[in-house]
Amino acid sequence: MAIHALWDDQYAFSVRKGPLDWTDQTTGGTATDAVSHQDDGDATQHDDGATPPVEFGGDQHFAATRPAVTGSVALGRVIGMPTSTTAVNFGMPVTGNPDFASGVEIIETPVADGQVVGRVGGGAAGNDQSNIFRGGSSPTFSMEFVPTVQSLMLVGSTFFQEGTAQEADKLQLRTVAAGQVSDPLYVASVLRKMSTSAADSRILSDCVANSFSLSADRSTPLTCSADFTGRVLVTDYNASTGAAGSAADTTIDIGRNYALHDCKAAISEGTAATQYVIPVDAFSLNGSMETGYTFYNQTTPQSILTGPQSWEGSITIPLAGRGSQLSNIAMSRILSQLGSNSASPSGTVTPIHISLYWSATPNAGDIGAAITQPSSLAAVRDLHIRLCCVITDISVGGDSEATQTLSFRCLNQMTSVSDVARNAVSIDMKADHAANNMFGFTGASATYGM
Amino acid sequence: MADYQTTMSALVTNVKSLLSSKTGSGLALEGIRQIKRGILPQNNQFPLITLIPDREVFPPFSSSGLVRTQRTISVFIFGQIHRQDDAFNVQKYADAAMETLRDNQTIPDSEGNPTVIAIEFTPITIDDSRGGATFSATCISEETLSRTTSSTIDNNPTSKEVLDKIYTKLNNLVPTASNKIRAVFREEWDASWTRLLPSVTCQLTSHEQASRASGRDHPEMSFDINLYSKVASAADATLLNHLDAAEVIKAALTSEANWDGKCHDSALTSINYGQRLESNELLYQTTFDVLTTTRHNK
Repeated sequence: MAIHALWDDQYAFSVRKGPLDWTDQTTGGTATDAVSHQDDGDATQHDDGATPPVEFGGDQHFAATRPAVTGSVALGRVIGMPTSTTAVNFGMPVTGNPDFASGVEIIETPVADGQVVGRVGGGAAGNDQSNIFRGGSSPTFSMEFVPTVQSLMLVGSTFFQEGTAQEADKLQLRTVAAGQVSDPLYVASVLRKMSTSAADSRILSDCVANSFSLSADRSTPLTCSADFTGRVLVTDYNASTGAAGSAADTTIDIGRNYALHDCKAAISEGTAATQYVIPVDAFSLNGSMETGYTFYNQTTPQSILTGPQSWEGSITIPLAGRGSQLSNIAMSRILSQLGSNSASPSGTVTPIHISLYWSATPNAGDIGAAITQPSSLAAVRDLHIRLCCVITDISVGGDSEATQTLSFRCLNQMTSVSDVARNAVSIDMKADHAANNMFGFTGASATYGM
Repeated sequence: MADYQTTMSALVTNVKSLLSSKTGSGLALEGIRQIKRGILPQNNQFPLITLIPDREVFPPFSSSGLVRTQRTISVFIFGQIHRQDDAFNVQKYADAAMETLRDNQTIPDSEGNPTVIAIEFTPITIDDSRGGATFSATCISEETLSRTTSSTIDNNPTSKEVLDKIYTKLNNLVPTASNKIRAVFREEWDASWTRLLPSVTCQLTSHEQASRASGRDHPEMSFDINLYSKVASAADATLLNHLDAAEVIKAALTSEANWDGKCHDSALTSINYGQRLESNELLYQTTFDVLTTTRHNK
C-alpha cells in the first residue's frame, strides 16, 4: 500500500436484521442468521434460492443495490439508508479518522519453574511453554458524526433496537418499556475504507452500540457519537470488490444538518400539553446500554447480550431573558419546583418534558411563550427530540454571561406496568418519501403522540 | 419591539436621547450645544457630541435563533481648543457621556422600555490637536432571527452558485420602495453607479477548502455585501435612512440557513459601518460579512 493519507479514509455503516446466530459461520447455503464474517474475515453468503435470489449474508454489506424493499425485511437482510426501493447509501461523515480497537485479551500466567524471564511460545505444535496466552477478542469502535435524518436512523437502530420503527415516511427511535430481547435485533458492520483497490480496508463486523449520545451547542450542530462493540475485526477487506462483487458504497446522505440556531426548544411539566419556549445554549443526551458476551472457550463472542439502558443529559439556558417566564428569579423558581411534589417534599417525583423541534418552518412561539405540543412532523427531514426527564441538578455558571445548567435523567413515564405514557427518549423524523425511503426495520407503528 | 431588543438606528437614536437629557442646567453635560448622529457638517456649534455606528457582531446563536448582538458605536466629543482648559473640558464631557451611559445600562427607548442588556466601553482617547475625545460603547441586546431551511444540501456548489442565491435574495428587495435600495450588483463598486445610490454589491472574498469529515470536505466561502448610500447632507436623517436600509439587508441575509440547499450552513458574522470617499463623493458604506459552509463529497 502506498503512503496512506488519513483524509482519504471513508467510512460506511451497514445494518443487518437479526437476531443472528453468533455461532453460525456457515456460508454458501440458505441460512439467514449466520454471522456476517467468518473468523478469518471472509464474508458469509447465503440466498433463498429464488430467481433472482435474495441474499442474506455479510457479503451484502455496503452493496448499493438491493432487491426492492417496501416494508419490513427478512431476517439476515442488510439495511442501509434508502434512496429508492432498490438503492441504498452507507457512507458516514465521521470526524477524526477513528480506528478500531482489536480488543484482544492477553492473559499472563506466571509459571513458577525457575525461569528468570517469562516465556512466549514459539508457535510450533507442542511448543506451549508460554506465560502469555491470547484470550477472547471483543473489538470496539467509537465514532462521531454530524447526522442527517437518514444516518441518525440507521446508527440509532443499533442502540434503540426494538424501539426502532418506520411507518411510511415517519421514522422513530424511542425507548421501549419491555419486550427488548437480549439478542440484538439490529447489528451493524462498520467499514473503514483505507484504499480503493487493495485488500487492506477494515470492518468491525456484527457490532451493537453500547452508548449513544447527541449534543449541540451554539457553535456546534447536532452531533451524534456512539461506541460499538462487535464480534470480529476484519482487516483485509477489499473495498473495490467486497460488496457482493462490487465496490463498497460510501455515498453520504444529502440531508440537512441541525444547528441549534434552527431549533425551537420547549419545556413542560407533568402531562401538560402546554409547553414554554426556552432558549438553549447547549444540549447533551447520553445513553448507555449494558452489553455482555459469552465466549464458550472460543476467541470470538458466541453471543452478544444487550441489557438495560440508562439515559442522562443536560441543557444550558442563558439566565438573562425577558417576560414573566424567563426573568432570572422566575425561571429559577419554576425549574427548582419542577420534578418535586411541593405538597410532600419526599413524595412522588413529577417528570418534566424537554422537547427540541427542528422544523423546516419553525414552530410558532417566541421565547417565553406558551405553545401547544405539535402532533406530527410537518416537513421532510424535520427532527423532533422529546425527553421525559427528572432533574437531578441545577447549577448556575457561565463566564461573561450567567447561564443555568439543568442535569437530568430520562425515564419512561408509566401509566401501568407495561404502558408507557411518555417515553424516556423519543426521536421522531420524517423521511423524504413514504415509499422510496423504506429502511426495512421491523417496527411498523411510528405513532408520534407521546 | 420587545424588551432588550433594538436596531443600530434605534440605538443611536436612544443614545442621543439619553445624552440630550443630560444637557440641561446643572446636569452632567451642561454646555454641550449639539448632539448629532453621523458625520458633521461644515459649520458646527462647539462643544458637540456625534455618534457614529461602528459595527455589529453576532456571536453563535442559541435555540430559537436567539443571539446576543453586540453593537458598537463610537462617541466623538469635539470642542474648540483655544487654551489648555478647553482640552480638559472635552475630556470632562467625554467622561460625563460615558458615565451617563454606564449609569443607565439599559438605554431605554422613547417609551422607557429597556433596549440593552449590558454595555462595555473602551478607554477615552484624547486628541489635543483636533480638539476631540472619543470612546466606543459596545451594547449587547437580544434578537431572535429564525431561518428558512432546505431539507437537502447540494454537493459541491460553485461560489458563483452561492453568490447568485445571495444576489437574487437581495435583488428581490429592490422593487419594494420602502426598502430604499435602488440596485444590486455582483461586482466591486464602480464610481459610475453613484446615480443608482443607495445600492448594494455582493462579492466573494475567500474560498477555503477546509476538511472536516471522512468522505466529505466543507469548503468555506466568505462574501462581502456592501451597502452604499450617498451622503447628500450631514443631516441625521441621511444616516438613519442608510441604517434602515442596512436593517433590511441584514434581515434578508440572516433569513436563510442554507440558501436553497446550496450551503451546509450560512451565518452573518458581523456588520461594519463606515464611510468611503469615491470620486469626491462621500458615501456611507456598510459591509456585511457572510460566511457560508458548503459540502464537497469525495
